[in-house]
Amino acid sequence: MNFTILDWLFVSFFITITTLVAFWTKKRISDYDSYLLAGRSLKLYLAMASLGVTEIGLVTLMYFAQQGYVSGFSGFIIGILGLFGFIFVGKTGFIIKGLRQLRCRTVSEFFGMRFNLTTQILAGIITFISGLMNMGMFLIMGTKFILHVVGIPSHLLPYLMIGLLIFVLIYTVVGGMVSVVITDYFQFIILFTGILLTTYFAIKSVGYGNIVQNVQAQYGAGGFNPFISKDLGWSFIIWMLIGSFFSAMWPPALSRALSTTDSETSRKTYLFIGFSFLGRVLMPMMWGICALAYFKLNPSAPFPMHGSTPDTAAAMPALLAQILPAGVMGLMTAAALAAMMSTFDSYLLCWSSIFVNDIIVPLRKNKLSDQLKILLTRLMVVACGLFVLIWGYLYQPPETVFRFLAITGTMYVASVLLTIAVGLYWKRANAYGAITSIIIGGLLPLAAIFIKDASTLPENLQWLTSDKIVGTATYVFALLGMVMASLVTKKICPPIKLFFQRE
Amino acid sequence: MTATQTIWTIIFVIALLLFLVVEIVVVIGGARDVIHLMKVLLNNATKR
Repeated sequence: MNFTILDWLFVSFFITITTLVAFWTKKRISDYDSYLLAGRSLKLYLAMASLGVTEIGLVTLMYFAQQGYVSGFSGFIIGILGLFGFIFVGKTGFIIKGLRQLRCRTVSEFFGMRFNLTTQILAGIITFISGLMNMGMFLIMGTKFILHVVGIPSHLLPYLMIGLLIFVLIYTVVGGMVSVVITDYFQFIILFTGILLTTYFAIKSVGYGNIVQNVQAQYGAGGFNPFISKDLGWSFIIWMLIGSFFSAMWPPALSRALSTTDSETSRKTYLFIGFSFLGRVLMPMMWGICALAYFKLNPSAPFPMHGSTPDTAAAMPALLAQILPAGVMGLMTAAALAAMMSTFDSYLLCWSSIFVNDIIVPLRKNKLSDQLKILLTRLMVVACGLFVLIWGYLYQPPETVFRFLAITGTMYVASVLLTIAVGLYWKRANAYGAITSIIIGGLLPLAAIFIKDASTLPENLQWLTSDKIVGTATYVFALLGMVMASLVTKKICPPIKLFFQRE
Repeated sequence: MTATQTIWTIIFVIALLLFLVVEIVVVIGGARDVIHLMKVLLNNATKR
């Protein structure tokens, strides 16, 4: 066990505070709108705090650290492209401004307005499935972090997963968006402080000169030049560049944007918080790069294993267990729990509300009461949590965890968001075009996710197992499908005109 | 260090500083926003 009494005190205090906040806010939830959208009372800085912690999950720290371990400084290109995406959205209000002015609760509601009910339900299904698969890695990665930092025996992994899941489910189900937003503020303070301190100790433990020299020795020029990196390369960068325009609009992040007082606040939120997102990528990557150097320089230090193979995803927490002083380790674990809960609860709530609002509600003839919607959402939160427990334990990503999340993210982005963008900005887009792009964007990435052995496919189809090629191809084919289907069917399915409300 | 290594180092330092600035700004501004949200909730509860 690596923890001291001081560390346990930090963690216990954090858990107590967040639990109390969750129960206190339960008494003040008035209706379904408040439950999901914090009553549209979210002002700029609280929105920034909430978005910041929602998008910096423990899984985020883990997968960027693994990516840094595997690709060195070349992985920093991901942060550069992400920053570019946030600035672009912040400056232009790309998609988010339009959705705010249409008063959409979720992105799939847009489909009902712009296209038809079938499109709305289909978009809801793809959103739900891709989001659930994506979220499937959260619990296992978070648990691995806690396991290695605290020093819990590895055979207790399943039990720790269950315990963490129960904790997250309780205050997600009880509080809803209101408690999520308020606890996000306190988690923001702990998380951002923990990240800064950990970065300091990680670099100090190895020495910056050793870090750079070690990456050069292990990865050569490819450790600094992403275009020639064996793990990344041109195809990866192109894939990430296209996605960067939409990277700030994963539904849980969008729910924050739709919760603010007006669209201008939403736009500013993306712009300002985008500046911290470069650090969100680079700092955990640096931890992974430090882990690469540390275990090379200290071969006697125990490196985490997954069966008989090195577990690169667990390298970073194994490093922190070695180098963080007492007290800081507890703070970082509390920060990690904060990161895990702030992301996990928002994502659980988001996917559950999408299932209820965009799949169940449209399919029913009779209107659902607010209380019934809340009950159904809570039941779905539990069901999603159980799926994440099983999926995370059983599924092994073919590449790094980041690349798995990127390809499941592409399922959603290339189908739903790309279709929304075209629907907002191209008047000729119609329902047939939307259905075509949703189906292509939602299904094509499944090949890269589930087909692991390229030799099982004919030679001309083996590209389907490469996430880097499939990622870019999905965007291209989805867009082509939207445009071609809309033009071919324009007479039998005229486009619906949108009317934007002024704020 | 090579030019590429130096560039990444500079970018990393900038990222770290931006992260710190955003934290300070959000912590201070967010405190006011939390108070505002609490007032809204209490008003709604009173009306009900």
